[in-house]
Amino acid sequence: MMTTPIMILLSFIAALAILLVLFFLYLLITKLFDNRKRKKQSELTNRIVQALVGQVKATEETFRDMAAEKNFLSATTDALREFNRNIEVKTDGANTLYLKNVLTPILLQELKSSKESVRINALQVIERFYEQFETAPLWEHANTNNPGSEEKLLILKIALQNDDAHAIELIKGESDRYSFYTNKQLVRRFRTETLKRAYKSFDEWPLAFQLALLSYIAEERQIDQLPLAERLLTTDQVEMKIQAIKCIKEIGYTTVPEQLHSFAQSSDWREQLLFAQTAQVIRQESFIPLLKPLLESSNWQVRYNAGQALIAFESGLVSLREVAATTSDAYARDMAVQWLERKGEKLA
Amino acid sequence: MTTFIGILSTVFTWIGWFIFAYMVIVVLLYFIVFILSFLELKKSKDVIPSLKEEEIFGSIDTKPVSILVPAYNEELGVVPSVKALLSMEYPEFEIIVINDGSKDKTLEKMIEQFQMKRTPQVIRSVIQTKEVKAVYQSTVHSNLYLIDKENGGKADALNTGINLSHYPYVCSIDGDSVLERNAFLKVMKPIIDSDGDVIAVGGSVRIANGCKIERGELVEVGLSRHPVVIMQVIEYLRAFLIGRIGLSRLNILLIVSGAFGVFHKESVLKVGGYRTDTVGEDMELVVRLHRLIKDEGKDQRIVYVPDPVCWTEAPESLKVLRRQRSRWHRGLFETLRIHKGMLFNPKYKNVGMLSMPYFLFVELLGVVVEVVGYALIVLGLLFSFIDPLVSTLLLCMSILLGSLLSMAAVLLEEWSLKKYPKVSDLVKLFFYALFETFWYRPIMTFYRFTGLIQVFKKNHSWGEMTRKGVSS
Repeated sequence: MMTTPIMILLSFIAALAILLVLFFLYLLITKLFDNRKRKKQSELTNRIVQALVGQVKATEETFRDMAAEKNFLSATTDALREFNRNIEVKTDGANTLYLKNVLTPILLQELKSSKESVRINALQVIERFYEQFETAPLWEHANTNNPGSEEKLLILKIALQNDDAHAIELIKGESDRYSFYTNKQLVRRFRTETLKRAYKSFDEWPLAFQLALLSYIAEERQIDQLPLAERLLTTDQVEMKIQAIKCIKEIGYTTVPEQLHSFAQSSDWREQLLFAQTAQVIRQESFIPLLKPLLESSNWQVRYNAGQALIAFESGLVSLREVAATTSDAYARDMAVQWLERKGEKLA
Repeated sequence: MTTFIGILSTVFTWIGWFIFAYMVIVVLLYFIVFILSFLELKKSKDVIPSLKEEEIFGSIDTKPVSILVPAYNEELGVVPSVKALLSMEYPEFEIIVINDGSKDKTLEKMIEQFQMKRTPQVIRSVIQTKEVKAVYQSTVHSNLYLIDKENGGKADALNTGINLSHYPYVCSIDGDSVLERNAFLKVMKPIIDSDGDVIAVGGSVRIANGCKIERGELVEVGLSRHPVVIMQVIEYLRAFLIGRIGLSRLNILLIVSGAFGVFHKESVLKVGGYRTDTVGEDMELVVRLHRLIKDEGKDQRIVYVPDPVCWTEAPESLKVLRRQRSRWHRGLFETLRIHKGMLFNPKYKNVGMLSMPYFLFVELLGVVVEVVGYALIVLGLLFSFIDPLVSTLLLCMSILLGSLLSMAAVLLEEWSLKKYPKVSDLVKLFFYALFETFWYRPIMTFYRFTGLIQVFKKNHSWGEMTRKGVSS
């Protein structure tokens, strides 16, 4: 006769064993289904690609039939990804339209799903593959269903792509809460005209967004925004100054080179580095005496870029030779020697 | 005699109850951490992999990274590893291979393969290291450097690499590891997204044995046929997918694997780089970084990201595995000993109150409890102090709980990375997990226990430098 504790232990073990078997079966079955799903999805992706490139004759009905299959959204994402990367030029415009006609109602339906992952997938497809999308249902979703931060950000990006005024107002209130990189992602989605207006009203934007705007000017090398960047070279805001000189560096031109001098004399190595990098593209003799002390910086990147900048000038070479021969700073000497050797000079 | 046996029996009973209670607590803790990981992965389970990496790749906002590859007697693996690293998808990076006094042809192979030329670079020794004999730079890949230095161990090699590194982030990678091509885009994302508030990121480490690797690139994932390796696959899944995700969620992650981790260089320099007098240099550094964060009152984080993956070769022989595990356990002991002041110290918040006690009582001392448990079972059965039926039932329970946990890790793998494509792989993993308690677990417990014994044996030479090879 078994005692109660042993019975309890036995029951517990039996429950664990059942749980384990169920767990294992669940894993096996989901793996089998998943493998089958992947195979089918891959076939569907191929069919969508073939239809999009006009390899097979497709009508709106063709896409509707495909949409009735499971994993249509995932397959479409794969297809569009493939298609955007590799065969963009060969696509049949009519087929793309058919796909959109079929896909749009599905995406709107998916947005109503109770599963966050389904909603995020739908928003990702819209954000990545739609140039135009009706934003009203997205705002409705944002205002009524209390979506998570990832969904909100995706909606904001889509709205910006569609030049939505409400999205721009939202950024004015919220961009300080976003990281620099997120703000940059938002700027990238501005339409050209809106962006121009944003530059005009630069001072009205929150600081975090101003930095992203400047960084975008640099990334796109927008020479028409040079006056804005030059105006900000003398601001008290360090991060703003850094983004401003980055613009000058990327654009490769400035009308006020003397305003860059203070960067070389700064105690912030980032400012020194940007000065040395900018001096490589904007070659001004007046930079040479400022570059020479930078060879003694404790930061390798500053020393390296100062050396690279100096080597571009004849008198810069003289400075490098002087440093190589006379300075007591081993790191400065080392850097000067390295650059002179690259120039082909043999040093003892 | 009867009284003595009576006392012994009572002692046995009490120890037995203690071990039982300990086991229950540990199992509960594991399941709590599992639930945290489960919730974290469930959120992203069905999300179509995003296209974010493409945007990062094209951005001027990525942070350049110095990849440090310490190499000690790696003549066979270092060249393919470096070739694979050179083809990484990342806008700006440099590779610094540190030849830590190899006795084989590591140096010659590197010089020959990458046409490396000696450069007269002076290294700024922010961290003191063993003597650097020479610095080389590749004439074909200007972002590839090679440092030849006196042997000083992995930590010393990494410190030398940090001294030479030119970029604000450093990444440590084992010389015999293989990274997926977009690994850096993924591992750097939390840093870029957080405006630098994330000061260290660890990626996943998986076992490469059984996988098909061509020219330093993983082309097909597979399971090894070696039982010892399969058991390590299960262990790694458990450690990375249950442990690290859960701990990272609470910002109490104490381990960023030395095989693949990215660190903010300035923070590493602030804490003095890797310690060379411990064999657990990777964990010790992370604990010091946590200490720095709390001491400076900053809102910084150390995170783990399950995807990217670094594939590494696991030991196939028990002899090598024994060395590795006893070293890891010694490293754990040393780290906890060095930072004992953080233990239960409210100043260090969750790290001091949760993470450090967890590592002390569960990871470090769990081994001792297990050894006592095994001894108790053997002695108890021998002297009839314990009921064979009860002990069998407890054994069954332990097997089932262990297997459940392993299966839970496999489930999380299926939800996140899905790296093992075959159904047969899952079946293999399941059955091996079932038998873990019979052979693998006791062996590992023994190996880890020997690590503890080594600590006490070397008690007199505690302050001395512990030498070890790199990527051994």
